[in-house]
Amino acid sequence: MIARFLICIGMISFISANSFAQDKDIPVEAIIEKHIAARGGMDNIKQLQSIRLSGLHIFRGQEFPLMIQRRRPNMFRLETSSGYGPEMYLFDGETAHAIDAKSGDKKAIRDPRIRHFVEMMADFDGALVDYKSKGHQIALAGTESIEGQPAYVLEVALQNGPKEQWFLDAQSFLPVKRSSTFMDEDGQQTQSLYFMDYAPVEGYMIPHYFERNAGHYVYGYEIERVEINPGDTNQ
Amino acid sequence: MNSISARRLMIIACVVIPHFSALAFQNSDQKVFDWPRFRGPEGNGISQESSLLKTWPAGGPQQLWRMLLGIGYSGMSVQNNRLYTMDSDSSAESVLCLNASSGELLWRQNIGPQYKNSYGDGPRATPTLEGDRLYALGAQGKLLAANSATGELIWQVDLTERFTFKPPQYWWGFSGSPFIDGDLLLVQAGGDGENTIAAFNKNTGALVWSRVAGFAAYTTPIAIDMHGKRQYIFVTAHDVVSMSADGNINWSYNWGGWFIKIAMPVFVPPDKIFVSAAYDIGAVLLQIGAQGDSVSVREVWKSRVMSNHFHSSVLLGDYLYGFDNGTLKCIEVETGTEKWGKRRLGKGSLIYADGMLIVLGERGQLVLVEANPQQYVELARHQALSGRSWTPPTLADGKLYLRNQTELLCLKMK
Repeated sequence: MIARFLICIGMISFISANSFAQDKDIPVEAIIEKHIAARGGMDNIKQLQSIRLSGLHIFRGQEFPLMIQRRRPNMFRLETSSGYGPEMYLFDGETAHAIDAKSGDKKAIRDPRIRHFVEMMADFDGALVDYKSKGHQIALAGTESIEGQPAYVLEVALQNGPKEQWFLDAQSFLPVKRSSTFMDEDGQQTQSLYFMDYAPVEGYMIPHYFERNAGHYVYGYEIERVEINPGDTNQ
Repeated sequence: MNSISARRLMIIACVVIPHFSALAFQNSDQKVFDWPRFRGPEGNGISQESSLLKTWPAGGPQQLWRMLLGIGYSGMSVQNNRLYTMDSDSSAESVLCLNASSGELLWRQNIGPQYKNSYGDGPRATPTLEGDRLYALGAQGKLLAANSATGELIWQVDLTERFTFKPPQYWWGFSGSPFIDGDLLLVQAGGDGENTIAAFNKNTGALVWSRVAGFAAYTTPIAIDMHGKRQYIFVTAHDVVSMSADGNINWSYNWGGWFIKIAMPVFVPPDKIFVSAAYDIGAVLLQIGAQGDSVSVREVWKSRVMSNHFHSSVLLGDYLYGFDNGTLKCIEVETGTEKWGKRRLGKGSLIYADGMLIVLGERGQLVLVEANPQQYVELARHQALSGRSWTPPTLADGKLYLRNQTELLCLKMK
């Protein structure tokens, strides 16, 4: 009885190890297909016209109201605060701007970390969707552990943009991390986004918490409400 | 003495001395489980308490008391069932003493005007207790000794008057806690010239020596015995410096980087020092060699695997647990290899007791985590506080004390 049990355990271990070895050789195309399926499928993704996320922005141990709106084609708007008054940032499809809270005028984003973050959020569908037609190049760079779970690491060379790294959970194929570099007065810096607490909302898998790390700055975004195609997003 | 007698003496020494030591340990339980200074009895974030709860009921551990405080980040020291901390309001900065079991205010001693700062007003340092004395450093450089029973001032020195200053010295206020060893009280005085580190007579407040040029940092020193020598390890704005009791510099290491260094150094016996900072600096493990009068300092490894911003790491065996900016991590100390990391607690703080890390997230999330280098195992979680909670926990006599900027609470952990 014990011998049978041990044989079974051994076989399970062998099968698991073998399937992990096969997974390491998975083609990029298959990873991206699974990623798109995990997000709700291509048809579903294309039907998404806009999304509004409301919740909390967490910075230096304090919480501030947060609203993120995204709309096709590649519109992004973030409204929050970090203790120094209201902050509004947007990507208008071409350029990242800040909005002056008093006048409502567009102005350049002075902080390179924020400008880079807004630019990272600009692609409505995400870089992996239709990547060939967008002119991006993607290669599998191996696997890495993110918070104890294996993730596929995709090197994404954006057309007319920096190189990004996308980390897709090896089981769910949902993004768990995204990293990209930018320049500030101290040279090249890395900014990373970590995605957590995925939950389905109207057929879409939405991370309900994400964290942004840039140097020693840590920003948390806790999503309390998700609205799919709300119809009244503004830019 | 013949060899049999010598052997007998050895046996007696081996059997009897530890026995007496154990008795002394048992008879002084109360003292052992006090938390008399910043980061605990040994200044390393480790408590010897045991039999703590490993899980909590749905509402979290039992709250014994909770009270409002004036604004500040000062930590809590506990001795003989009395809790000491610092706070401030628009009129003054204060040291205060509470009954640790009930939260009743026993005394309050004003030490100067309130320190104002965009990152939060009020005192940063934690009072240090020894015998019937309390030593404290206000955010504006008021260094003092007081009677811990009454709060009566014994002596006071204003570091900003005793030394001269130039910016950016203490952008965020005097933050390192007073450190006592023998008759010396050691602080980062931050004076211009060779007055970054100062030693005062703890009994009189008289300056014994001041040394080291450059800028001070926000760290508290540690005392170690290494290569047969008592040494005080300071992290200043740009250097790691070993001082002897007579004020001589044993060795120093030019760490560089931005001048904001906050976390305490960690001694890795027998001959290594771990230091860590944020602002793209990261960590370095130093090995100190000694041959005769010659001392060498070697970087064993240097990396950004662990960037302690506000809070220091805890060393348990071969592993360090600490916050790499916003990620709670475990790393192997000899190699810097990351074992695991966990996000979502912000720039939290942690202490160790009874096989567990007691972690306070930046927004007041209290989490028990197994001290397990193989994986992150969360045992219990409770939202203990709200708002910015940058003060590390204090554990004394089975009670956990937590504070945010304006509130202090006591939880029963047994």
